[in-house]
Amino acid sequence: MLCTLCGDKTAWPVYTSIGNLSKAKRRSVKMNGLILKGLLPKCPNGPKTHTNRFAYHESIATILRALEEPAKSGFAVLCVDGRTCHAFPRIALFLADYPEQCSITMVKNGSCPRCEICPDDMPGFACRPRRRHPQCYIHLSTTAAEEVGLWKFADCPNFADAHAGCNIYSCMNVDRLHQLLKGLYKDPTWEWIVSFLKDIYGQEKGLDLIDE
Amino acid sequence: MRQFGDKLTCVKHWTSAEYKDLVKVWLAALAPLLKGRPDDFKFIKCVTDFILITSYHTHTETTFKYLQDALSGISSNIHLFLPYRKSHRMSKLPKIHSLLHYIECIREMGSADTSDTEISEAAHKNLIKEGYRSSNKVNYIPQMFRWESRLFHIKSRVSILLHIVESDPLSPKADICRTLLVGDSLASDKLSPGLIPRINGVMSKCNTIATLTFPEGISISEFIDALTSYLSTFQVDTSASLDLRTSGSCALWILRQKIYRANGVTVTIQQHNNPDIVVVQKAMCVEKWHGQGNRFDNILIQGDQAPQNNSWVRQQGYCPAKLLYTFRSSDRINTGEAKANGSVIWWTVHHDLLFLEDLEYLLSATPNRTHGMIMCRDAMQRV
Repeated sequence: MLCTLCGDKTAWPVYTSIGNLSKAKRRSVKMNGLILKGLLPKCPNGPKTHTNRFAYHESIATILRALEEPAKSGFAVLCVDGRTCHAFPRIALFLADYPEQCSITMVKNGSCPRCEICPDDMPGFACRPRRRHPQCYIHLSTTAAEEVGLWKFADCPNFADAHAGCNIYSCMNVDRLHQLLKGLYKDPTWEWIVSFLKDIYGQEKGLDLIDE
Repeated sequence: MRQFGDKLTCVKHWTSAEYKDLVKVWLAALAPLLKGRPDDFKFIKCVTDFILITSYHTHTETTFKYLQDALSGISSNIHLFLPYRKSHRMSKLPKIHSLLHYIECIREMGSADTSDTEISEAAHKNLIKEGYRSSNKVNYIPQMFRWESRLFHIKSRVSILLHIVESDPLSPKADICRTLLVGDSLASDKLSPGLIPRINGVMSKCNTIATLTFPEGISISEFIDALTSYLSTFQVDTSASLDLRTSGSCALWILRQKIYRANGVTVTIQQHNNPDIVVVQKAMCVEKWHGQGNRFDNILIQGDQAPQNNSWVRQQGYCPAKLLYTFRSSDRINTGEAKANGSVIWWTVHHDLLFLEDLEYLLSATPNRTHGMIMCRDAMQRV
């Protein structure tokens, strides 16, 4: 996520964590559950939107390049108990907010990163087919890909294609902060309620709400 | 119960804490207002249910059923708010659509209580912003990474030491670790990122104690030995130096023989703008000690009396804080090793800096809050 350092200086950091940390440890500030892995480049304003996507994928691929080979053949890890294990690193999930999920999965803005729903049916709560493994989409033509809400570029493969056993679409986890609290709760529901109360009770709703 | 000031509408800054607090209370607050509109109320109830259930730490089939009920409640009543949408359409709301995926995500990846971007938003503060503040704001990206990796190594070192102490408190190993932790687990409590020293801005004067010239061609181990014996000639002389006085008994220190070679955690950093240049640093960076007692992880032994303004140290953005001992060391030190062709390998003391690690135990006495030793850098380069 973009964060502001100071004034006009911003950074776009990427953090990594490993899967066998307990939740409490990972969240603790003291324990260093997250490691700062890199800062993503920010494209200057103006170029075509896809340039941003290319840059994004190229940078993430660079950051994760060290994992590509071990994901296929494994590598030896010295464990705490003194034994050496053969480990296969996997990308388990990405925590990101919606626009970043879109750019990671190369999904068109407005589509769902996890299923093939059409944006017009959007709130649709009926179950839609999940996105299949990325390999299935490789041979799709550009127009066919656009029908399922994917961008497809010949010269810019998704960085996750190089990682064995990584289904990038199912790596997209839910995001409670942005989706639930902001996406569902604050923006639509809360504002609807407020305007709804305005309609019914007039402008004195602010006073009504004090009694919380 | 949270008090939202005078008026809820006046809350300017909505963070997740505010949302969470509001979720807890709004049902009760809205119930009288929505009397006679059961459908609206049901929708709000379902939303509340959904938010609260997803924050559970564990899930069972029963809670999944509740979640599904809440979801169907939301989906069947969401049209009630259609008139209040600007576009009068409910389509193109990917965030609401994503509610559908919660159950499958929880089944696949475990409870959703930690799967939010709050973690990384918090990390922005701890890692990025603090790192930026610790830099000297010029070419700050490599400095931020250097700061972060130092922080990481110090933290992991402390946690390993703590683990050894806690797992087997009686073993002799644990005793050593305890001394490394300055007697108690204070170290870990104090190791919040804010207490890691700012690399810049702690410059203080460098008091020269003595000048010692080493003979040409001394090997690195001989150098250490010579240094030790030289320091042992110091008696506890309060007039010698303020530094010596506040850092405890020098003689005691020598008796414990805690001079080590620089053998700390090695950090390799590629230079930001030129990946071919790899900088190797060795564990360094002592926190500015705000608690009881001093704590020095490193001691910087510096060749020149004080770094000039245009010296390498300054150019790197470092400002050495207090130096305990200063020496004029020879520029080239014989390592005592030989290359394949028989010629001797020399170390050059780069910019006359050399540091020794793990000297913090010499400071068991006399807290001094102004001492914040910092930094070092593996100052040697092979010629």
